[in-house]
Amino acid sequence: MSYLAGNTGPIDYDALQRVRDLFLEHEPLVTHHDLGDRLDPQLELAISVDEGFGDSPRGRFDIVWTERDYYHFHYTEADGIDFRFDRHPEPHAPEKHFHEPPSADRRVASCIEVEQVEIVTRAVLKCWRTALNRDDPSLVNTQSNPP
Amino acid sequence: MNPDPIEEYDDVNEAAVTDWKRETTTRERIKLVITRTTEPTPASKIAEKARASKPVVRDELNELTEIGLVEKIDGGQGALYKRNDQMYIYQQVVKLHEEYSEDELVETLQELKQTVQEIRTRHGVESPAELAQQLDPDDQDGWEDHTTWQTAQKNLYLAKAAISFYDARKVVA
Repeated sequence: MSYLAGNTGPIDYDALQRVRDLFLEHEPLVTHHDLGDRLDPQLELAISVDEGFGDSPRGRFDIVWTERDYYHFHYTEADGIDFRFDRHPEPHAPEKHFHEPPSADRRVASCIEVEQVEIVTRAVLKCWRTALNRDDPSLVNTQSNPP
Repeated sequence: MNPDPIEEYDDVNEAAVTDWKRETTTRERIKLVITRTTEPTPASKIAEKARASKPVVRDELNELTEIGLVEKIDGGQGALYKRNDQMYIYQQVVKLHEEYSEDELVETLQELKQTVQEIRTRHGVESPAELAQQLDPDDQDGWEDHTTWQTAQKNLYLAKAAISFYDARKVVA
């Protein structure tokens, strides 16, 4: 499902293909990916990864990107945590916001300020990977990773 | 692949930009930026987004204009550039022909019409713009319908164009 409130423009299949390709190029933990058909009006990219936080064996990203560069990257684990990087009009938060783990309900400003699909995807991958390597989901929305 | 998974950075945004620049050529970045630019935009703005120098951007944009990928609009304040929408539609049609048979396109077109009809009936409005006017900012399901409607409407017209291309090819072949 789409979590995008506001006037987002149509979902962008070509952008989602780019997101998928970047995950595949950058992330050896990707096990499955599923992007529907080009004309599907409820298009979503699903990407499964072979490692989760804490006891969770795996996780999944559900991703939507629109022609106006609005997006959500929703991370979820079966019986585990949820978090989400969003950009869309939102009355209760800045346009670029983050839904915090463990349940992706509370909204705070996002650490991701860049806007283009090629750059946002790389930033999301870094944020998630840094937190995963430290096994601490509270670090996902963190701008810096000092030594 | 990331050789060192424990990567250090001061700012994840800058680190992502650095990676993008390292993994692409300047020309690739300019092309990526301009093909997502739908409003007339000065070369300086394209240069900023593509992380490229202005002279290189002007050269590349002029080349892309010559081959029809980019539209150049001469204005009082200097040239503005945007993606050529006709070329964009043509490219979408080519991709649809690669991914769908003619019968599948006709079938999908009917499904898209039905999706639009369902949303229209559910909300009692005639267009996505009209729906947007009456939606509460917190109405999650309503906004999901709005995005679906915008997407279905665009896809419907692209499917129609792709079907027309199939028909036209039969005549010119």
